[in-house]
Amino acid sequence: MLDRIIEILQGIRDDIDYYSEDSLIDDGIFDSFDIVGLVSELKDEFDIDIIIDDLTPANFNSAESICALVKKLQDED
Amino acid sequence: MDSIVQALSIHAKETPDRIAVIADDEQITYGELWKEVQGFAEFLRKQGFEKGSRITVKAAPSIWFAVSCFGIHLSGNVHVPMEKTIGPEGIINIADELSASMIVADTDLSDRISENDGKYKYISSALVRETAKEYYRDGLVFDFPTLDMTCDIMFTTGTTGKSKGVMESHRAVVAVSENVQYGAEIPKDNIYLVPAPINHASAIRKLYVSILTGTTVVLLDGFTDVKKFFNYVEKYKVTSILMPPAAVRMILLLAEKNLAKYSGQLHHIHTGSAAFPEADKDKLCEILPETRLYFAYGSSEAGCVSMYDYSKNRGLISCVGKPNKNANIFIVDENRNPIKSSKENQGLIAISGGMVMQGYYNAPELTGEVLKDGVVYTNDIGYIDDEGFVYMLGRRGDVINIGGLKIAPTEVENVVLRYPDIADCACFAKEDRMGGVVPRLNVVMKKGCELDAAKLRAHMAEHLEAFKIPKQIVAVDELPKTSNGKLDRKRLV
Repeated sequence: MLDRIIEILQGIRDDIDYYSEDSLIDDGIFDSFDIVGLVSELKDEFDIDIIIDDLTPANFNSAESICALVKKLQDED
Repeated sequence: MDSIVQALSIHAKETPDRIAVIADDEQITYGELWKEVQGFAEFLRKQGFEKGSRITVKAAPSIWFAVSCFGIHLSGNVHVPMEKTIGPEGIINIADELSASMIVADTDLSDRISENDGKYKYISSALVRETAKEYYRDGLVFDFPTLDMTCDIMFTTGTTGKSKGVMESHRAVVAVSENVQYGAEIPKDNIYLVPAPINHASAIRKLYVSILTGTTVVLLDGFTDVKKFFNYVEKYKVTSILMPPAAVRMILLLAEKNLAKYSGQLHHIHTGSAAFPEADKDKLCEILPETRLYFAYGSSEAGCVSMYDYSKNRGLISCVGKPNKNANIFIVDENRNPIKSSKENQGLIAISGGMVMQGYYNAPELTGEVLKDGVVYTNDIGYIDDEGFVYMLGRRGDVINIGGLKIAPTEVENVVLRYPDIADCACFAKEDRMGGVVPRLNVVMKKGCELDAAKLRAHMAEHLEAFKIPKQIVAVDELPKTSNGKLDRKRLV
């Protein structure tokens, strides 16, 4: 799953090392438009429902944290 | 009122226990804020700077920022807010460019500043409030800044791409705050949520209008933390929100239902500073029937010159409302001569009034291109109708000229975006085989929708003159965007 998420992230910006970057939001690498695009791709790709309580910087700061969020939401289903 | 800091001193006497600023889940009352502001001003006075010295501040949505900002104003110095993401190199560059006397930042600059032979002093933003409390004592006396003194220098990239420092007098800062106050009829118990970088003109002006009116401002670091945004709306019983077009789009896409819940609580939403799709306006009207919805027109050079409540006056496409309290708006031709404008006879928007900037810092030539005899000449194409409503149709450089007939791309795009199957679109000039240009429209369809060009053309024909309807309509997967999410017109081919 992590590799697929990284592919999606590379579609947004391809000049970031997503295996090591852990401040995508805090450092302003992704802006609000990127998050909107990312959320809709994650919804489609993994068939999950992302609600506002999930929309925190901590959940979107790294590929790993995004992966953990997707797994959590899939388990809740 | 000659300055916002003077308004602060008055509210501190009249309503000392009212909350002035909330940030990082901390709050400060008018009484406490006024004391800390005096303390920080006293600290600055003790540094022995000449009045009018530039003090650069790495901005953050926090209480120390408000203390530092008004302390700088009260001490008669000039406040220069910088981006919160600026690095040490950038901080030093701006300080050098402005011959600053002091830097306020959370970055450790001790190595770099000693290299500069103590050209400027440095204070850590973490120590601002502590220092202010240390220097405060009863009976401090200050002369309030006067109207013509420079209050702030705001850095803006603008359309040229080169960074410019816009100098604003205290007169301009009070005038723009009044424009917002009267334009939006800010209620006496307003609680303003400002989820935007506080060094941006539109954001810092909401701090100013809140202090001017003795109301409460809640500072938040942008929209990326959607959960926190809604937490704050709920917890602090927010009654108005500054929402740039990008944020409106984001909230509509991610949390439309959550926002709709606050229709009764929200007095107004203030949007400005960029092109705002009509379709997003329509959607906000639908989900927030009890909320006033303002679109404000202005710039760093002349702030909030008009406001338009699109929830009340539906259907006036590209309208930016009527001039605000301190603004005079008129239309000029290419030679800057005033004209009687109309929908058929458009010109360029010119602005005069108290909120006009003093000029660009250290750039008299650049200033001369924009500002003459107290008038800001914009590159915005527009007209004023018989009822006095001002219309802004787009930037001069973006206009498509088809054999003398002029088409503003945003006018076409706003009509197209109201068509239900369209997610996004861009109108631009494309060379034809005869060596001329034709207007072309690229559209991004909503998921599951297919382009029916004939039906779309019929929709456009209801709202646009025939020559404005693009000859070519093409469905594309995406449109080029700039780093801040706006349509990148230069990359449209």
